[in-house]
Amino acid sequence: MKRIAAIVFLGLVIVLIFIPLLTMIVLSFSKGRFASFPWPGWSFQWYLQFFENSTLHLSLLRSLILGMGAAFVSTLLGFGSGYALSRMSSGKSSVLLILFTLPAIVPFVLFGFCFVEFAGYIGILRTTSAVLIAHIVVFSPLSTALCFHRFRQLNLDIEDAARELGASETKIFFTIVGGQSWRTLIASVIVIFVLSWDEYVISWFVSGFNKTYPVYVRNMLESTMSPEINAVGSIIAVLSLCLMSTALYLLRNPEKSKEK
Amino acid sequence: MDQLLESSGARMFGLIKKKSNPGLGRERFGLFHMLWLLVFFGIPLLLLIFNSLKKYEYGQFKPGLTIDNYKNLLFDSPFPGALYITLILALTVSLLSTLIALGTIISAWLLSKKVRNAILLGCTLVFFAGVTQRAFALEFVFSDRGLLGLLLQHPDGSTSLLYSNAGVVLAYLPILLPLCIAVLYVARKEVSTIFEDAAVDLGAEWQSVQIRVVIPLMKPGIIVSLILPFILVVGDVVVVDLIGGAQVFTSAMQIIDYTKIDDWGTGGAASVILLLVIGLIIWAGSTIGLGKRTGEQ
Repeated sequence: MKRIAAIVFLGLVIVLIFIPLLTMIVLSFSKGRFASFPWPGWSFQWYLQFFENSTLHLSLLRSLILGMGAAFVSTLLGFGSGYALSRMSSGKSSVLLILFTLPAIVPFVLFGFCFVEFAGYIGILRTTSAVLIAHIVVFSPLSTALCFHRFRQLNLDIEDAARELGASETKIFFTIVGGQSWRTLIASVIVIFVLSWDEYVISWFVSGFNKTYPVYVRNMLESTMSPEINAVGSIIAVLSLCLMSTALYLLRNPEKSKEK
Repeated sequence: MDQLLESSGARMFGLIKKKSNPGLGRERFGLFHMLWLLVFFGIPLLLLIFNSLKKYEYGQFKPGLTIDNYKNLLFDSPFPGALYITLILALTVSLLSTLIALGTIISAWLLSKKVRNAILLGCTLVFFAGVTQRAFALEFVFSDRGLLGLLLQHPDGSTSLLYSNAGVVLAYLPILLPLCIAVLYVARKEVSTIFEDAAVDLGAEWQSVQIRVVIPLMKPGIIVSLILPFILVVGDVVVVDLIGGAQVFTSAMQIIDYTKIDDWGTGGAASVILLLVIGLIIWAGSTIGLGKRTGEQ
């Protein structure tokens, strides 16, 4: 009885979670501009329209470059800070970890607001590089947390052995620590790329006319309400799900997997 | 011989135990990140606080500090009402999401490990599938053309979900539930089976084990699961705008409005107040939650 109740509850939760995603995919194949019941019929026209929309392609390209830049730089920064924190005493590292993760827990609307003022002062307002800097600020703490967690699991004796064999700290950092954690680093790149790709509020504040993909989509929703949004949304959702599956696969603990 | 063993890396295999030498300058690897955050996060934050104490007129901040922005905001603007709505929405969403996620985790733990992991990871992944587009799809579901909207339609033809607080809360659930599930999944995995087995051996029923053993041990995860949706709802404008329309006005939307009318001083004051309120709520929540846990331990 307990098991049946659990399965029913899980079924309802799955429906609740997947309803928006499935609705979006189904609507992307709708024939009518405004989907409704009875169903107007099936069509690929919104996908075709998306493939012809060069402005949308440009915003996608901008988001792609931005996401990749933010992902790589954030992971590099997180790699360094994660290592530094993981090799400190517990008390010191917990306090510093909170400070490092602070930008990620400040609501994006607040950070966007204060960063736009700052970007204006240093003359980078309404540029893609301003969005890039802002994304690195808010997403790099995630990389720090991921790397910190992974580096705490590493065997310190290997680093000590390398040190005693004459390896420099830089060599240990890149070769020993980096070599053992490449899966976490790739996962961090993927996770931050997916998050940066979909970030709206900060991009809206900072990007100006260099609209990123989420800002462009939001503008489309305000003006045309085109079902093309569902088509591009479905493609992006499927891509994001594939990327995140890869990230989760890489984030598995390799030692535990070997034990199995 | 000892020297040879030491230099040959025998410590790698646990033959010689010696603690790693601290203070070898490893902190320097985190310095650049710290500097980055100080410049691009610390300075903008200080600038925000400083500018919130200045009047903004005709495209520039006036010299001299004043608390007029705060006075206007608190006594002569819809901000207190918007803040109240924001907090109620955020608290309701975080509470509901965490409760449903907790139920999901407890239910999933009754299934085999393989099925459980597949279901929970599948649910978690959806979080990364684009918020704006999913909110747009929900707008259709809630509208008088969508399934849920049609089901809940009043006799006069109006729907109760779209452009209402309840609709906004309901829309946040499928968007934020995956995040709560992910957090609680990790927290549940950390709970050692030793405690559960001990409780069962002592004659406790399944319900008692969950309520008295598992859930208290998951407390840090539960607190994180309450905090994350709270922060995301407070800072979001997409879902509120699409589902709530003009009927639901939050403080984040008001901050956006201040930027649109070029009132950066009052917008800054609104941001500072929101930041303080959020900080206070998170601090209180985590202190009360984690403090109790320490007491129990």
